[in-house]
Amino acid sequence: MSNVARVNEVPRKASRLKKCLRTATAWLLLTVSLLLWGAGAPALAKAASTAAAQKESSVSVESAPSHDWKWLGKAPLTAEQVQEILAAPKGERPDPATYLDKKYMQRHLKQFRQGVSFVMGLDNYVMYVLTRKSIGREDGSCFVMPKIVCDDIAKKARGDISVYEQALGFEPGYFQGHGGLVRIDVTEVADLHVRIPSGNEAGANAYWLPGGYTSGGVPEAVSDLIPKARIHVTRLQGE
Amino acid sequence: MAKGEVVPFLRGDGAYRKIPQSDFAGEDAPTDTWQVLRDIHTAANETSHAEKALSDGLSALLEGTAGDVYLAVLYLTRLSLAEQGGRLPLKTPLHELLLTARENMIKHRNAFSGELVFPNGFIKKAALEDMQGWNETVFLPCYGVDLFPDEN
Repeated sequence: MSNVARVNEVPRKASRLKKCLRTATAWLLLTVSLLLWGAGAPALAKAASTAAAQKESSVSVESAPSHDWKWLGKAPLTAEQVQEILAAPKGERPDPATYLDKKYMQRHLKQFRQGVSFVMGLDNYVMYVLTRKSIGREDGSCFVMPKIVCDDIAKKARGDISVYEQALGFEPGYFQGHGGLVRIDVTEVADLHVRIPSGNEAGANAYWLPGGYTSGGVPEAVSDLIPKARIHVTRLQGE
Repeated sequence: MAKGEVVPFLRGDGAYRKIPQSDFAGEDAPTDTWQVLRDIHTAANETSHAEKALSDGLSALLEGTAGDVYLAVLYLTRLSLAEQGGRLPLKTPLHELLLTARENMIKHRNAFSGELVFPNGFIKKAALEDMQGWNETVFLPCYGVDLFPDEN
């Protein structure tokens, strides 16, 4: 058993780990299409894509954002609003309270009151959680989803980590390539300042969209740094 | 790779920058290092030069700026974890590279405590904390290499 495994806080058996790791086929990735264009979406899609291209001018064509549009209709935003928000440089994007109505924001954030969750690759867990006292980016923010949503994904997945990849916008094979999936749950969230992302957060990349949903339609929010003592960790190894 | 541009590729310069697709991917880096290594592995299936290019690229980064050294150490951490897990797809002289890293850490000790600005505009803060954590969690216990020998 590796020393890394020894320091890992996630309980697991060495034999299962070996089996998992031997079968890791992440480096042979499948091709996948993320462009699931929704009916009536082209105008909004074009607006957002144009803005995304403008804000990440250094991004190559092959790695340029290609959103799917399951989020359409979930956030009450017009194409013009989306374009305007995405076109603003990161750091200068408006407070969501200036373009989302109060009731929508309250309804959205209510989903996070019973707890928040996020998932990450095991390697990233070792690199960015085990070695730190709190969890999140260096700007003090952490992208989270409602725990109830992660519970739903878990029910559908039944241990199949590829279901998490598909649901949460990770590339196929991502978690196998990271040694497995680690799910982190936090139920004590009252003081974590859970809020709708503005797009100025360190973790908001070229795929970020305004309104509180991922491009795959999963509700998201950002919290303050999460104390490590407060997290509940579950590891899934996959096939 | 074929153009000998492995360092810009590793660093995510300009058009080489890789961005994680998920908002929940938790890496603070100028490029998505996992995607980069995956692409190099794919290239290794097509050309015998890919593994050497990776080693040479990491060596070059270790001789570069503070940001380059930080990024090289990040790659070494990722590769070390893969090796410890028995899923390292590329033959990489990790121990040798770690020794080179150790030699070059001291030169940039002060810079690691500040902001590291990468050619693609990414700004990394608290690089020293990350590397100290990886040192204690991965390099020391797994390879017996201490990147910060004066501090332990």
